[in-house]
Amino acid sequence: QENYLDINEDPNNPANATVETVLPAAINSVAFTIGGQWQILGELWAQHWTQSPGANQYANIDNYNINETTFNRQYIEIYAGALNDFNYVSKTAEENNNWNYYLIAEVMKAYTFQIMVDLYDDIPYTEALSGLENKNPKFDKGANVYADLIKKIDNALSKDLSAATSKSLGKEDIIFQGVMDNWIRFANTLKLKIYMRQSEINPSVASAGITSLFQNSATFLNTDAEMAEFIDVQNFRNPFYAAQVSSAGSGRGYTDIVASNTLLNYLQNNGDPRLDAIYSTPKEGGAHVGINQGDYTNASFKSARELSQPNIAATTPVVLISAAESKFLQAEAVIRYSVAGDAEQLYNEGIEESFAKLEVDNASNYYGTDNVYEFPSTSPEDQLDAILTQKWIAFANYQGLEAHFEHLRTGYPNFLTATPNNVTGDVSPKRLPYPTTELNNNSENVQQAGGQKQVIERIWWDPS
Amino acid sequence: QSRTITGKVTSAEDGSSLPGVNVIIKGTSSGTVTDIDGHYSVSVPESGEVLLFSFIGLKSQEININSQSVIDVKMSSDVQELSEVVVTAIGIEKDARKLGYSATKLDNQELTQGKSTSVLNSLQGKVAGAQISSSSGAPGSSNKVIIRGFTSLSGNNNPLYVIDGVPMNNSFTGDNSINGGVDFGSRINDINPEDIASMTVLKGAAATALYGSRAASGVIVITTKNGSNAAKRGKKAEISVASSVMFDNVLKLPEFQNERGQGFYGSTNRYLTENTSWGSKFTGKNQPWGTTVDGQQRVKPYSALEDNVKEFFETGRTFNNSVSLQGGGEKANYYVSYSNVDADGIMPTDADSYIRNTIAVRASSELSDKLRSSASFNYARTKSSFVPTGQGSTVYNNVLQTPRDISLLELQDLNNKFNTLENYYSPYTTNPWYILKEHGSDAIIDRFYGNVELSYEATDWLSFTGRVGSDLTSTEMEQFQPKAVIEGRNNARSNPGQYKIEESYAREFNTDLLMNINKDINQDINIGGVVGFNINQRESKYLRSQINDLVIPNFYNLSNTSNSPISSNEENLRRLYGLYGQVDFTYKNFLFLTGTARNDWSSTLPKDNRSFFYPGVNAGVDVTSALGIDSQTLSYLKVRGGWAQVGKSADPYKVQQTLFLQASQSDGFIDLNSPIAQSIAAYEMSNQIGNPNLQPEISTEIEFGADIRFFNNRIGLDATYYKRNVKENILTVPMTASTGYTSQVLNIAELSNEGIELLLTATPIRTTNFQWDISVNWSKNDSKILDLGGPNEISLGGLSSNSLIARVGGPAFEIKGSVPLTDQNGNIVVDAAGIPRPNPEKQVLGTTQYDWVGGLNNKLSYKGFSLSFTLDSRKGGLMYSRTASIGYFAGTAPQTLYNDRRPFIVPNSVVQAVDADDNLVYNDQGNPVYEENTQQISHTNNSLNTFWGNGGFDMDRSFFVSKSFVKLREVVLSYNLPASLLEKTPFGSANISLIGRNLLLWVPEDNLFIDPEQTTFGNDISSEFGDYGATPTTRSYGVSLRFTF
Repeated sequence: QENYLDINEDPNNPANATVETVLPAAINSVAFTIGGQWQILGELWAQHWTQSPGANQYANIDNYNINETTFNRQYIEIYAGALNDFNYVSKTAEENNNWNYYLIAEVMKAYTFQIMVDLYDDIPYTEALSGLENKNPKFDKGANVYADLIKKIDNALSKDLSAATSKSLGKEDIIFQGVMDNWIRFANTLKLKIYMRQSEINPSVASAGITSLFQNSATFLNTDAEMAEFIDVQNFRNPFYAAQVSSAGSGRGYTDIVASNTLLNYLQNNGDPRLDAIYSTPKEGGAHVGINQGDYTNASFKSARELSQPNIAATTPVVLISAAESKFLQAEAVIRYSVAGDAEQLYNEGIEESFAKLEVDNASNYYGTDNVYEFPSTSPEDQLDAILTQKWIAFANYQGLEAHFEHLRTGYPNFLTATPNNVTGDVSPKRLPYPTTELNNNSENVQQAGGQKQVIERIWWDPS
Repeated sequence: QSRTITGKVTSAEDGSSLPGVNVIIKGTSSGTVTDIDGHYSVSVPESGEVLLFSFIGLKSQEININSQSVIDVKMSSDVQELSEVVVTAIGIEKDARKLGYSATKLDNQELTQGKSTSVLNSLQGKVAGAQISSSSGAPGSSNKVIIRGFTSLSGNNNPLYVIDGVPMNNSFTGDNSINGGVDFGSRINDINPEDIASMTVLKGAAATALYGSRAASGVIVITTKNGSNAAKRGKKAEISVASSVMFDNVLKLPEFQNERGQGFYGSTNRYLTENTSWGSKFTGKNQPWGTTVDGQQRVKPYSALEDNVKEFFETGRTFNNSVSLQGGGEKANYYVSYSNVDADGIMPTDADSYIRNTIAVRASSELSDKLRSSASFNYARTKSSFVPTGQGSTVYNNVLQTPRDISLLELQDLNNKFNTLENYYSPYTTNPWYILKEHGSDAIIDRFYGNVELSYEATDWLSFTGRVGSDLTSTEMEQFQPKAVIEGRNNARSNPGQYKIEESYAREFNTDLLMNINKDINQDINIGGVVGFNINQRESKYLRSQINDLVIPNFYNLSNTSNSPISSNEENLRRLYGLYGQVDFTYKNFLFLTGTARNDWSSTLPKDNRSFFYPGVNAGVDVTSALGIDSQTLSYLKVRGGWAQVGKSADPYKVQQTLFLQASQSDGFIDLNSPIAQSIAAYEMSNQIGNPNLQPEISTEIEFGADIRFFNNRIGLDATYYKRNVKENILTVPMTASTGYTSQVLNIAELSNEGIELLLTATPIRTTNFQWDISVNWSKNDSKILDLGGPNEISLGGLSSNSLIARVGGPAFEIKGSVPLTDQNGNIVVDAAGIPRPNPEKQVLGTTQYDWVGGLNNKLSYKGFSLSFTLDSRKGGLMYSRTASIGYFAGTAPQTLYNDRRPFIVPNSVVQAVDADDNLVYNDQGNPVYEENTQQISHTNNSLNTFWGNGGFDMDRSFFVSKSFVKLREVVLSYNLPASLLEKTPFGSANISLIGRNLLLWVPEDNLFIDPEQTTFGNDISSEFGDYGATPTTRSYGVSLRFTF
């Protein structure tokens, strides 16, 4: 009896899924990764946070002792958890001329691939995500990936979002709840970010691309692109909060991460009220105390409870691109490439947005004439310093990776310190080594790409 | 001319009369059977010269008649009787002489004398070629049985268990999580050992092929008591009672240093909140410890408490009572039993307990001369509690992190204000007494299995049998942690509370229809055969639900949350048809040829590959009979050989290429689940690509062996060589994540197992009253991974830092971990802190497999007394031990006293040079340039505890211990009351035994930490990795009484 044995269709998992259910899963993967373990990576390397004394969970990030296993899980989550699903949404949407979904999927893919280039430089790209069709994808040059990302975004932007086949989105768009205008702004801001990253190595490409954006009156984000769908229930919380702050489940209950003096002192020295929003004061009471970056072996502290800690709640969103970032990018574009706009105003708006994000009032007391963050009029270089330093503050607690990347690109802020326990002879970290999944299963292509990399080797756009 | 010979057959052991003994005139098929009093009378033709006395379980005897007319015979029992009957495939009984393969049979006495609640423990050290290990000392926890090595990389390496011809469910009940693992055993534990008449271990493919797909890892055939024994002893009814009480203690605890106590940085004074022993040297002087509460602090001498961990454990105890009634007559038999096990393990309180009640009812009857029927119904209910193991808030983990000077007994009183969660001395650990009292896990397992069999003897050479069996298991498993809101310094130990429940149901339904042929073609040739048809269906369902934040602190119900419970369900169904046959050809009772073949159709394989065929052939030659050797020196020689294949189907639902799963992410600490915000549905593409072209796994095995007996069977050697190759091994092969997937299901892996098994038996002394029997078994299995379908190496479990791997060219399985980086001159490369840097390439640290496994069994009997003992020995292999790793982390391991904890420089260490601009120096080839290291490791810069926490000089290698051990597995001193004494009592027999199990353990010197038998991670491949904080194994001793009336 044939039928008697025909019972091997999986009753536990569906064979098909709609783009409506896959898109949020893919976005969630990105949010989980950049808001979780990679948030810690970025925030430590950008010197907003540091490993606490009396614990050592993230000492290897602070001492730059990263190996192939450290972020293997995150690399896998990004490729197999996020990019593969964006690809599915994108392909399915394209087949159905469903251009809204197509735009979101393509733009999110570009956003995600850029992070991968910024962390790993050469990555599998053109041959990636092909499943069994290509089990050993070759690595593409980071610069070539960048160039193609712009093309992919432009292609997605060229589609007719108002076509009848373009399905509108609602809550399954966990970034903008279906407001497609924001996705267009996101796409433009992302292009601005991709071009700007090349400012030092590829100035002509950056200049041309950015000039063209402004000439075509591209609209940029004036709201935060963020995943805010966290609720205060175990397994549904902000991933950093869940792993580090919460003591629920496997949460470590605030034992590992404390305030770095690099940022804490800067805020204190400038009387910046964002201090109390970025950090909470020590659990044992008293005023803010941080430790020097990476000084977790300092025996004068017994535990994280005596130190200030990042103030992140269960429902704190994970930010992809913030409104402040958008403003600062535009301000930088005005200064570097003389595009239309008022750099100082954009700079001030960036600070406004940062204060607003942290729910701190009276931002205007801190920028503008005679205030501590007054936009310098001395030189473009000073202006860049001011913009990027403010951007670095705005990234605190939200966009650690981006703070790290922008510091690599510009050298601002210029007061980051060497860490006492580092294993690289005080060379600051620049990238991640390739992860186990590639070394073990795609070793020939890793060799073709120059073999395993050290944490101190540069990304292609890094002028440092 | 014929004459009549009469006589009486009695037992050599106790003089009781033996009914039912076969008395055959040698060379003919005629004879008789002794009556109820052991008397017989047989008419012997003139040509008859020898009488053959035989009875199952007794040594057969041949007596030359000569001129005697009365022949009285004393028969003694022989557990290693040469021509015993073993149950082979599909319940077919076969004379061991005729087998072309090796099979080991153990009878009831061997299985029950040690009074272990799980029958598998009784096999330890007794079966060549089988590795049987207890996972932990927790009552009711699982055993691992691996026969002739691992045969499959996809799992399912446990043997198939077959009870009275029906395969049974032996699934593992538990959770292998490293954060609170639980182990409620595997379902073989549901059997009452007293119900078992015998167990036969069928090892190779030749023996198991007819059982089909699931027999690829060997078969353990269990034959239960059916009541015929009482009838054979001439009793209408017999009641047997067996009672025992056993006590358990910890067998091996880690060794601890006893020179330094609580603290950090080499100091104690400022570190009274530490959970580690990195403090100052013991002074013996009184000093305060723990927290200050209401202005008070406790005071104690600052000195080592050598037994603080030992004192934590209690003496476990197991009461085991079993009663059975059996009886019947020639036409009908019945067997009814009830048993009760009530065990409480070595953890204080009854948080580790195991209560099992079983009922068995069996009956068989001859409905007519030709029609025979039997039925068996078994019910077992197990209620157990298990103390979760692993890291985090588990009892043993927190016990092991207690500083060397803190008394665990001092922490016991949870009402003491210093011992509450708020005021517990360390914010990094939780009071283990609290966890023991408030956290836990329970399981209730209801198990029903049974079968109905009908056989019809059409002619004297043709019969038909139909057998239908079913096996139902219903399980409820719960895990719970109360909500604890802790304010103040220990607030990191707050717990939102958790309650998890899993309801599962497993059902197996099995039908066999058999046609048996057994015909003497002529005087020399006998042909036997079986043709059978099998239908098997297995089904399982799970419903899991959990809440992660309780409202009422310790009320365990899914409603006790302000959020939605997280629930999931799963069902699995598989079916299989099998058509099989066996042909036995016997020539002159010395040449035995058997051919087997089976074809399966499995639902779990793609339609086109669903059918698979696997044949086998084996032969045995009784050389002594063939050559007519009748020698006292060489009493028996049989050679045997076989070749066979076994096919194995896949797990269900592995053929679909793409599936979507409910989305979830994990970073190794925490998870993010969907629906997002509990309101937005999210599905992600599975990271595993299914395989629409899946094939069955086929293993091919050759086996040769010989059975030689010398000096009237006083010395015997049974030797077997085998080699098994498994091709088309189904394996989840990793892919690089940049393909969008992480693995695909393939079947191209290939592995082999090759080994020898030796069994030496001897009876050095045999007098009327005294006998000494000895047997030694030894086996060696060499496994080799030949191909992994692309990758050179894959990970099969373990941890992220240290993993269990399969590597092409390596044995199954190896472990991989961090070793120190060395320069080209072999110097250890250290980092700026002076601590060895790990080699970026993890290294294979060794194999997990034993070099060899051996057992020694001795039995000395004198009149009614007998003393038997078993030594079980294993050599080689490495395993991970979290217990070791905690010792290094917490500064309790003796190794951490190196150099008296004064500063030291790692000998012969180098560090990478740094130039004036603080850049690392590389030479022109891009290789690092090293210079002599002058950085000391010391407490002052925190590197001493980091150094040891990393494993010290050997890094991760330090966390691996040798698996070698010798155990005094079982000692039984037993006394049978003489028949003369019992005559005036209602008792038919009475026995009292003193029992010891695992009394002694020897391990190599460098294993300071654990009993290397102990494992977590279930009972299949992943358990080979080792131990992750399992409850220590135990030493047991006690007394048993058994009597019949």
